[in-house]
Order: sequence, then structure tokens, then C-alpha cells
Amino acid sequence: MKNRIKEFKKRMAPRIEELQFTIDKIKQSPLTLVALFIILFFVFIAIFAPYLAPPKGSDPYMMPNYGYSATPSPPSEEAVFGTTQQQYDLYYGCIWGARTAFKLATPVLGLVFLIGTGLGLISGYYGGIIDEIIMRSVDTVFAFPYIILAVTLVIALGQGLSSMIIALTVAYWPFYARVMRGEVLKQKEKDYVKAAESLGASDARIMIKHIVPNSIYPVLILASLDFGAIVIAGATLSFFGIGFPIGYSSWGQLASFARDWVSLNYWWATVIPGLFISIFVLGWNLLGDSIRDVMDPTIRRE
Amino acid sequence: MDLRDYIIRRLLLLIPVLFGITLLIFAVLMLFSPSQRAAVYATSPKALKNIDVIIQKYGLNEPIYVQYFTWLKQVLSGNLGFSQIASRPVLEAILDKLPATFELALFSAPLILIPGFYLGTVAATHKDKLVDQFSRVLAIVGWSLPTFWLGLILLMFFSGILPTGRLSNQAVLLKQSEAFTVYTGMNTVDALLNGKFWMFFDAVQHLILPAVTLAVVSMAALMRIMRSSMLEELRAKYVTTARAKGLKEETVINKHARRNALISPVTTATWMVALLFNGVAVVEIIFNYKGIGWLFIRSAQQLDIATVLGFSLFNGLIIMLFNLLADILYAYLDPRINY
Amino acid sequence: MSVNAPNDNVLELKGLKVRFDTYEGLVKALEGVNFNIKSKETFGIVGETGCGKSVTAKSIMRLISSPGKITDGEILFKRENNGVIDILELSDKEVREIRGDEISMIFQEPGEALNPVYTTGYQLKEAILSHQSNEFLKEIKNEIEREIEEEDSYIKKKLLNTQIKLIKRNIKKEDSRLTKYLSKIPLINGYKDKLSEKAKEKAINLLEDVELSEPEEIYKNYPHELSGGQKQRVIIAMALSSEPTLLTADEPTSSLDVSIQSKILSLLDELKEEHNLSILYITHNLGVVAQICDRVGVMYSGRIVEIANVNDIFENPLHPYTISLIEAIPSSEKEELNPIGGVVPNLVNPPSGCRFHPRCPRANERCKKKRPSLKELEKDHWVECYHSGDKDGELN
Repeated sequence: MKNRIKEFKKRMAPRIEELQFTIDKIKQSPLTLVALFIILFFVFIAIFAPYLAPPKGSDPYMMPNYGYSATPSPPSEEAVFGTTQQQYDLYYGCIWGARTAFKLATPVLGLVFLIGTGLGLISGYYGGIIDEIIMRSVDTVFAFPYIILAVTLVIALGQGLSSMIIALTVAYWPFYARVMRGEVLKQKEKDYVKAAESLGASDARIMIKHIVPNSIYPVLILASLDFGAIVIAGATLSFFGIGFPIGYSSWGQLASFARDWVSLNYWWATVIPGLFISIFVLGWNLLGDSIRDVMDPTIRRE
Repeated sequence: MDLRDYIIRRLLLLIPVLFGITLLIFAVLMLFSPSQRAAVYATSPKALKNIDVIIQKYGLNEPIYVQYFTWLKQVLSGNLGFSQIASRPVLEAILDKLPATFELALFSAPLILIPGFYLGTVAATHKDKLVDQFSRVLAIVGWSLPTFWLGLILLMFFSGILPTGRLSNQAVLLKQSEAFTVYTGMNTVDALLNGKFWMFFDAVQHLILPAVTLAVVSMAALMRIMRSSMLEELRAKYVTTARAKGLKEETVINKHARRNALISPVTTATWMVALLFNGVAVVEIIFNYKGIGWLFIRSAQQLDIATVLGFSLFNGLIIMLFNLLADILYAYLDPRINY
Repeated sequence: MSVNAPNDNVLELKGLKVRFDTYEGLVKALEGVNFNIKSKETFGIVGETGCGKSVTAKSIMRLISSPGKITDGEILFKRENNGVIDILELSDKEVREIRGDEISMIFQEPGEALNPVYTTGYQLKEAILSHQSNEFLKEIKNEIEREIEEEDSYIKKKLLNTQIKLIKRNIKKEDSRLTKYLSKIPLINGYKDKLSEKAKEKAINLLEDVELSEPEEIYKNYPHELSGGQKQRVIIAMALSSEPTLLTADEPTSSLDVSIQSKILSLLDELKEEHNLSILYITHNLGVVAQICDRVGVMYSGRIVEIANVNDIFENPLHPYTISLIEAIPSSEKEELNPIGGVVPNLVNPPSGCRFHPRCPRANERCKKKRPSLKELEKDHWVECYHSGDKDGELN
């Protein structure tokens, strides 16, 4: 038993060393800690939204509005961040908007990651006509700017969260497929894969056991850099008034309510929702940037 | 093989993608009901009043593959439907607004390219120094600010100083008068060609805010791409060879490393152009700058599907064109490429 | 150590130390390297991967880049005017003047050592002009002066005079912006075409010198259009472009086919005679050493442990490491190979005392405690070992 533990420790030693290196690297960069702090702060807001801003209507995501006057009113006791056009409560919208951001970006990133890496893996591993079809689909989607494609799809599918998730997934998966395919092609040529093939391992086994663990890192880096971008894309759709129904808690929509009141006299209406998006996205981008620095093998050791 | 053959081969490779683009747009079109789809086939507002006639004429209840070919025939003949927003055929509406967007992109380009390439190079050659840290923060922040919010903030501070729209009323009057000839549809260029300098400055004033807003995201992206590409080249062995020849560090960086480092941003050119189009849609809406992005979002808001789909198709084609240009530039920059 | 033959040395390294500051710790890559290269000889450095051979070569031209740093020692180099300088004391600008001019270098991977986006001609010309533009400019100046005398047209005369002024500015190495911009104006930079023409002529000559057939073709080619051997010849031509006194060759043949390898080696030998070169030849291959070197230094873990004439190294190796290296050479007479036991030492925490002691059959307590110094045991045969001289290891 003791020997086994020893053996295990010995086998794991390089991995533990690498992990230690990674942690050291992260510790070296104070920006990473800032990033983690920002993200945890928003996770907290999203989880405790019902306590931070108790819902007033039947649908908690619909923002309460105090009256129907078009002019935004400044921060007050009733609405600590003030209200925006049509007297929607900014504070309420910003808090529940954090939930919306997670509810939109998490499934999109998850789907995009699964679909993109899956298709990229199949495409790179099997090659031939399958590869051709998948890669031409990738090129096709790449021919559309993602906002344009997403707007077009949401128009066709109708407003709402699920339409936006589908639209953004369709727009984003090709990045992942292309990166994954490139990595798989590189790994496929390596001797260890050839060795596994010559031993008669099944395709599925080679892919899952050998290729995926060695080619997944660049895709993970991409994913860590994309969370923020997806949040911005979602916010942009609702800024156009295309994503969510009117009154739904979403930072993008709050910013669009400020569209007619862009002036220092009504600064809160413009500045506050934008700050929420920007800081949230900044947190993710800082995290993504340091993850890339730490994990990217070409710059890791510098 | 020479460059011409290479271009022809690239063009042939575009065919499946062009087919894919039409399939995708057609698939989206089929999500709508026949009566909604009718607008895509109409050529005049009159025709729109008799939707049933259109459904009959174009067989909008026929099997899908039949409809695909009917639709494709329409598209190839240049009919993208009738735009309710612009009250004219979609293609005409797009071509009418295209010069405005082109002008905006033209003014934005130097704001993207010059600082992007320059700061990217400087950051790489001064890795981990102050300039590098500064450009990194600049890039991450620039990349984190939603374009629409950046636009709104600039508008908030500069409203009253810099105008929105494309031209002041006075200039619009001049443009519509008989004395003024519209050559290109780009206000700055036309103003110069007509010798109206005040109108040129008027147009430039209107362009400043949108061009700056549009540039930020792309500039940040280019800067980072250029930095990492330059870092990679600086590690290459030919750089050591160049130093061993006794060349000045300036020559080693500018002549040897940077020339190679330029290849990588070119391979992402298509993506950068797409990024620019995303920005165009946002910026034109915020600054009320009536280009194709403005047209697209306005029609999306009004559920004018003929314009939305027509524009998407058109946009896909434009990006394919840029893709081709990038391929040619790539072949020019990298002698290793097989024609 | 003190090396005899005071004035015959082209290069002398004294106690050279190089450190790399990495995450894993301070890598002590070179730990006091001493050797000398005499005029017109080929000196080989042989050793395992990671022993510091390449670092030594790069240090000589001060091409170690961050995180590496030369922390101690002297690199004495005899210049063409016979003055001896310490390369480590020079300013960056002075080092640049020596690089590629008096000392040049050829590299391990010819495929990666040439810039892929420029033609070989461009890169050769660049090497030539980086050190010889002045000579060419002077020639051109004389030619233009002759032209002026024969010229009747006033305007043309004026133009040629301006060219001469510009040439003078360039010769004086006035790195002012004005000179730079003036040199870009057409007509008055007419001399530039002549400069380029002269450089091309020289480049073609060089390509012929390194025995490349169709030099005109190769001049126009991009690196990827050439074979590995051709690329290495181009690089050699580049290195010879300004008649250096010392040529550093860092495993120039290890990535080439064996047949091409021996051709390149004999080419180097010929060129050495023709151009009065001294060569520092770095390799891990003892066969190559036997073929090309006059004297050899055996390197182990950042130290030169034995220096001797090439025959002595093979026939009478004294250091235990050298002995095991030679025993490890496969040959038809031997029935089995004798690989060297143990592993290459870690350079962050190197073994105490003599760095070879953990792998040495003769090691004792003394070896662990204190490092021996390089001693001349036989004439011109230097060894860094307590036990050498008594080959059976009986004496301590």
C-alpha cells in the first residue's frame, strides 16, 4: 500500500509541480486577484438578487416602474440609482441584470464549447468529406459579423432569452471548431497517437483519451476570453431593443433607455448600466488574459 | 503558377461558401410564414398589397427545394425584395447608404491601423516594461467597453461640441441644390470635388465621434494580435542571424521581425472586418449616422425582414470579398505560400 | 589559468560565467570557461547537449538574450589592427561593429537562420553593406568625380555634386534624420543603385566561393526554395562577406544529411586556408571533431574539463569524462557500446566540487568538496581532474 502511494506520488509529481507553477504565476499577477474579486462580486449579486432587490411583480425579471413620466429622475431613497426613462428602477434592473447576464452567457459558452470542440474534433480526426462539410459551414458562418447574424436570427426566432441563446451559439461555435480542428491535426501526427492506433485502440478511445486532453487548452483559453465578449454581444442585442421584451432586466436595455437622455443632466441613466456591463466584462477579460498567459505553452515559461 | 492562377483558385474555393451563405439566409427566411416572406419577393409597395398574388406567383407553399431555387433566381437577378423602411427596393436602399458607411470606415481605418501596429510593436519590443503594461491595460479596457456605451459616453461629453448625423442642415441644403454634383456619395470627397471646403469640414466634424468610437475595439484587438505575433518573431533564429551580421537593433526589428510579424494580422483580416461591421451597426445607430448599419438595425427593429435578410446576404458577400483581398495580400507578404 | 603563447591568440576566454534567471532558479550555464584559440587554427568544443557549448559561442558575440546574462569573465579578442580588446567591455555600438565584420557566426538550423520573407540576395547584400558600404561609397565617389569631369551639362553636374555631398555625409556615418531622408529622394540618391550593384557583384562572388552552382539563380531565390545544404552555404557566404578573422560555427552540420555534412566540412576547411580564418567549431559529434579540428576542448556542465590537440584527445584522453565519451563512440571493432552512466547534471543545483563526480568512476571525497583546476599535465594538454596522470586512480 505504501509503495502504491509512493508510486502514485511519483507519477503525479510533475503534474503537481506544474500546478504549483501555475498557482505561483497567478499569484504574481495582482490583476488576476482583481479579476476574481470582480467576478465573485457579480456572482454574489446574481445569487442574492431576490434579497438585494426584492421582486414586486409576478415576474422578478420585469423591472418595476414608478409612474409613466418619460424624464429620468435622479437617485432618491425609493430608487437608489435613480430611474430611467418611463421611471424604471435602475438599481433593480442592474441587480437582476447580473442574473440575466449569467443566464445568457453561461449556456451560450457551454453550448458553443461542446458543439465547437465536438465538431472540430470530428472534423480534424476523420478529415475527408466530413471535414470539408464542417469547415465550409465554419467559413459560411464566418462570413457574417456575429451581431448581424444574431440580430437576423433573433428577428426570425422571436424575442426572448432562448432565441438569444440560440442566435449567439450559432454565431460563435465556428471559432471553437476551427481552433480545435487545428490542434487535433497537430496531435494526430504525433507518435503517441500513431502508437495507440497501431495497438488497435478504437477511434473514440484515441480521441477522448489521447487527443482531447492534449488539444483542449487553446480552446479553454479562447473560452476564458469569450465570456465577456458574449455578454457584450447579448447587451448589444438588447440595446437595439431586439433581444428582450421591454421592461426585462438587462443592462443593454437600460442603456438603450438612456438613448434619448444622453446628457450630463441625466448622467446616471447612461453611466450606471454601462458601468455594470463594463466592470463585469473587464473582470472576465482580465481573468481570460491571465489564464492565457499562464496556460499558453508558448509564453508560459517567459 | 502565377498570381492570376492563385486568385482564380481562391475564387473557386469561394463557391461552396457562397452556396453556404445562400443556404443559411434561405434557412432563416423559411422560419417566417409565407405571408411574411412575401416582402422578400415584392418589387414595389403595390405588390405588397396583394400578398396572396405573390404567394401564388413564387410558389411560397411549394416544397422547400423548389422555393430555394425560386428565391435564388430572384436574388441572382438582383431582387432582394422591397424595403418598407426605405420605401424602395432593398438593393437600391443598401447601395444608397453604402458610401456613408464606406466613408466612416475610411476615417476609422487610420485610427485602427496606426496605433494598432505601432503600439503592438512597441509593446513587444519593450515586453514587461511600462509601455507594455500600459498598452495591455489599454487593450483590455478597450476590449471590455461595449461599443454602444463608449458611444453614449462620448456623446454625453461632446454633445454641443461635436454634432451627430452626417451633415448640418445647411450642408444638406447645399447637397440637395442643383449646384452640387454628387460624385461618390461620400460627403467629404464630394465636398472637395465641388470645392466646398466648409462642407468638407462640416462632414469631418460629423465623422469624428463615430470614427473614434468605431476604432477602439478593433484597435485593441489589432494591438494584441500584433504584439503576440511580434513576440513570436523576435524569438526566431533569423533574428539572431540578423543581429550576428552586426545590424542595428532598429533594423533587426523594423526590417526583419516586423515584416514577418505582419503576416499574422493579415490572416485574421476577415475577422477584423467582421468586427468592424458589428461596430458599424452600433455606431451608426448611436450617432444617427445613416449608413447601411443604421438601415439594418432600423429595419430589424421594425421587423422589415426583406431588408434584414437582404442586408445579411449583402454583408456576407462583402466579407467574402475582403477575404479574397486578404488572401492576395497574404500571398504578397509571405513568399512561402504556394500559388 | 594562464595560457602561454601570448601573442598568437585570436581569442581568449577567461573565467566566463553566464547565468539564466528562470522560474526554476538561477541556471548556472557557464561556470568559469577558459580556453584560447590560436591564429588560423580550428578549435573544437565538444560536449553533451546542455553543457553550455552554444551559450559559449553566443557569448563571444554578446548574443545572449534575456533572461541570460554574462556575469563574470573576460573575452579577449585580437582585432585586425592587432590591438587586444575585451569584448565584454565594449559598448553596444562597438560590438555591432565587430559582429559580422571581424567575428561572424554560422548556425545550427540553416532552415531557420534565414529570414523567410527576403531573398537570399537581399540578406547577403544586407550583410555586405552593413560593414563594407564605406569602401564601396568611396569607390563610387571616385567614379562620380570622374563622371563630373566628363560631363558638360550644368544641371547634371550639379546633381552629381549633390550626390557626392550625400555620399560624404553617409561615409561620416552621420545618422541624422536629414541624411536618412535625403537618401530617399530620387535622382540625388542615384549612387544607391551603384552601391546595390556593387554589393550584388560581391554577393555573387561569395556564392561562387562557397561552391554554389548557379549563383545568379540562388541570389534571386527565397530561402524556402533552397535545400538545407544550399542554405547553409548561403549562411557561410554571409559569414565570410567581410573577411572575418574568427568564424564561430555552432553545430552547422548536425541538421544536414551525412553526405552533405562532409561536403560542408571540407568546404569550411578550404575556406579557412583561403581566407586565413580561425574557427571555433561547436559540436557534439566526435567524428566531426576528428575530421576538422586542430585542437579540442571538452566541455562538461559549464566547464572546459580538458584541452588538447585532436590526436591527443583520441589517443591519450586524460579526463574521465573524455575517456567515457570516446568509449561511447560506436565502432566496428567494439562488441558492445559503453554509454556514459548517470544523467546530465541539473544546472540550478549543480553537484558540489567537480561537477562530474556523481558520474565519475574515480570520484572520492575530495572531488565532492573542491573543484580541481585546469592544469597542464603534458605539453599543451590541459586537464581539470585530480586523478588524471594516474590513469588507474591509485593516487589520490
